[in-house]
Amino acid sequence: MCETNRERIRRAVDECLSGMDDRPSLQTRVLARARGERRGPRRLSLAVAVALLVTLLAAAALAAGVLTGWLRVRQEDVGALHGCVSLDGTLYLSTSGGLRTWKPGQEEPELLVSMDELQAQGIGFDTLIYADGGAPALLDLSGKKLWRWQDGALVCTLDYAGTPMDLPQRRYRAAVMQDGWLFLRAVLPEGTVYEADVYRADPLTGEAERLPLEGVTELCAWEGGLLAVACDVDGGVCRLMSVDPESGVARTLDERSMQGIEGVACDGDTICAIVEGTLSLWNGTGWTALQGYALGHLDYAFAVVGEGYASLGTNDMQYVPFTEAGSLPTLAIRGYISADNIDADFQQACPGVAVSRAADPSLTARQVAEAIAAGDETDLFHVRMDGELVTLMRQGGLAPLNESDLLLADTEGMLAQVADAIFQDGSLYAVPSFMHVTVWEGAEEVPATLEALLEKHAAWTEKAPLVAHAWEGGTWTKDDYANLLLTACITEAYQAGRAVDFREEAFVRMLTALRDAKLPETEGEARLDPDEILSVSGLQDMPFSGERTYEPGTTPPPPSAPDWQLPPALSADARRTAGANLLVYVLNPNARHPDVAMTYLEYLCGHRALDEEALIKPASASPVLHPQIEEWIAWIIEDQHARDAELGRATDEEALTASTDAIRAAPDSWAVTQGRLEAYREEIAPYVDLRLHPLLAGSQRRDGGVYARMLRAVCDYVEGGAALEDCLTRLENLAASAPAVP
Amino acid sequence: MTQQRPDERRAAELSRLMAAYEKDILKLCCLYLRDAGMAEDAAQETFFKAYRALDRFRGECADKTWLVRIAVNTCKDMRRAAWFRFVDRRVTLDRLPEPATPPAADSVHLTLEIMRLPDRERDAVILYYYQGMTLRETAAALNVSETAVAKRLKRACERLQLIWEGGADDV
Repeated sequence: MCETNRERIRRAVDECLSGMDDRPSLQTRVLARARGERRGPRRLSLAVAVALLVTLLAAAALAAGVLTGWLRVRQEDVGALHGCVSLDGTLYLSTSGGLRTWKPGQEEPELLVSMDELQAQGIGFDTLIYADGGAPALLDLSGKKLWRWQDGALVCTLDYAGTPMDLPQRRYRAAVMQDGWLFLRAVLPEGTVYEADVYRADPLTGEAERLPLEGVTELCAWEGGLLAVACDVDGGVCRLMSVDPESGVARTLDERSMQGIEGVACDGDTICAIVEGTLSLWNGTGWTALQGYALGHLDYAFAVVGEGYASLGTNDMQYVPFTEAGSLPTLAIRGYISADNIDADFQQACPGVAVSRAADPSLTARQVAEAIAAGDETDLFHVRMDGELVTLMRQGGLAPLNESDLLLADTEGMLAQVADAIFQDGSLYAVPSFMHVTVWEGAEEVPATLEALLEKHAAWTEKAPLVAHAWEGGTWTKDDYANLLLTACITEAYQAGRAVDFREEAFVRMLTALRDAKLPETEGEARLDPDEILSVSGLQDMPFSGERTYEPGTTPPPPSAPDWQLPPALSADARRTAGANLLVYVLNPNARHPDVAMTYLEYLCGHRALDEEALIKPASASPVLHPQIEEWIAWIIEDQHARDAELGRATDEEALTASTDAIRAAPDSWAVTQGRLEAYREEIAPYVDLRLHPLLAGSQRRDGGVYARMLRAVCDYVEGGAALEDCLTRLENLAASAPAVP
Repeated sequence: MTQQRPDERRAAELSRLMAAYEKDILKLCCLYLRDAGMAEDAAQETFFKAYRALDRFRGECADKTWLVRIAVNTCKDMRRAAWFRFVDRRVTLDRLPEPATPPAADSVHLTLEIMRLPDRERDAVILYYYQGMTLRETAAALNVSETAVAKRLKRACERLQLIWEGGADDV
């Protein structure tokens, strides 16, 4: 008779747990405790709990490298990381401290050649590392030379200055050798990462030609040729392509949405990449998923090393062995990208958990609701807070977070508008990650109402310049006013707690005025910027060129008081508000790993960027230097003392103090400045509005959404294409047709 | 006959429960916590809680169902505790005592797959299949409906590549 499931499972588990059968009975201990009735553990205070959490994280991270094989090497240990290449199971790293090697199992990379030795040879600080016939090689960008490691030393193989490879208008970002050709990814200094060209160069002569490839963000040598990741920004897709080294002809292997394929690395015939947040192996026709893997925010070099995968950014390198793949629970996140390194940091802090983030910046609350209703098991969604998300919370469609004392404590001191949104019916449903507050900025005073703004705009002449330029310096059009008008009408009704009334006098008057207005094209310097994202960081006070002014003997620019203003309102008696986009994490009630998700949320609330924390909790915020600045100052002092001691001279303490004081005085040393924080607290924070009316939800602002169609109706009228009554009737019908949240 | 004092009666009852169910509860805790030391702590905590609640237990369900419910909640509390989150979360049998006879490879595979199941499905599989409880008892222990248990078992069987027999094992 064949085994039933019950018998089979029981047999399997009993076989595996039979080692527990010989353990001594717990009876004596339980009875002793029962008789003694010892008290349970004291409940820790929240402050102690947070401190304990941080300590445990640090201790666990230290142990993690040994336990799990995951490794993280920081720039504090080896210098800034410039690049890497994998050869025969060894990773060669180019760092600001020199060339290093690392093999799986080693705790830290070993020094091969120091930077002093490289510079003594005439090799510049700025190099790209690549593999040349089984040996590491360097492309010296400042010296314009190629160097190859031979017989224990670097030998110059080409001086390409003056050859076609010497492109003064381009900066090389990556070098890959394949089939005797050197392939170079080149960018314009002020271009975006998606505007790169690829050149094929002869490493013996410096001859070079441009290949017909566009938008290449990554290049990688492979047994079958060259691999490239190319991004089509307009189309919103990225492609993994195989490129014939001889002809330059490319063939698409896989296509995903933007950022769907990153971190491509090869070793022999093994192709590895992070595909939609998951470390995956190419199997010839598709990807075999291994485990979630969070790349560092700015990782730019990747390698397969032995039986594992490494990713590298300026600040650190991560490595995970393939053998660990599949045995780790993966925290699945979907939605907006993270603002910083939180995923990679959490992955290291919580050993044995992989983080997989499927980037979907356009994810809406409606789509979250639909996914949950369909049984999706994504653990966390990262999404904009809007009216539909609030509805989902109230319907019980999201998992409450009340069982975490840390998350509840995090809400203390939050802006009231934020706290009111994330708490519904007494339960906490969301954890804020960051907030973008939009203000008007400029020396000109913003008129109090849209009508007044329109009058000023219409009265513009060259001798009486106004006014606002639209986004990117273009002139304001009727469509720009229409958007502002419609949003203001809906928002003001929501604030007043009444239904939206498109026939109210102020709205109809403004509509008519807009239709009748003759708007001149404004010229000259913009005096108002209507689309400024508010920041409390001192970086905003630096001169536009971004010049650093904390060299000794120079005076940093004085911090400027920000000229933030609120946009005009529709009605004269309405409260002017600053619109804000709040990004939050919410927990899926179907989450596969709810406890890991909660841990991630707790980690997040203790590791928000300082300036984001100040925007969300202005009452408890205070001016603060960037954490790295204090570390940097301490290093400067220590380094100066060490150098002076080496040279046998006394340190000029006065000069040293002046130097470090200048650093502290520089506005961009401050994550949160006094002036900006005070201005935000007094002038903007009380007026922040999250735009929570359901008509303003993300899904309704999309093409085909109710708001988008309402805006079209307004634009049709103000541009003279429809009658007023038709416009108003359309608006009312559309507002009534807004779909319910599933 | 000398009357037993209340605490002696409770101690005697505790001894009876532990003699009958200690191994089952201990192994259940192993499946949740994957660590012998933590499993012992959880089992000890389970019986201690049971001892304290003996007077309130009116026999609404079988003894084992009651103990299992306490054990499951105790294990979940431990998994939520701050310190637990930062231990190595790999699903292995390495932190359990080695059996005297090495288990068969397919037994190891099946046990690890059970440990890797999503929480709700794992709860159902452990109680229904491993502990041999009925659908009703499993539902009572997990505080959900029998339909919910059946659905979770069906999904779990799909993941474990077993055939869900719709209660054929339910005796």
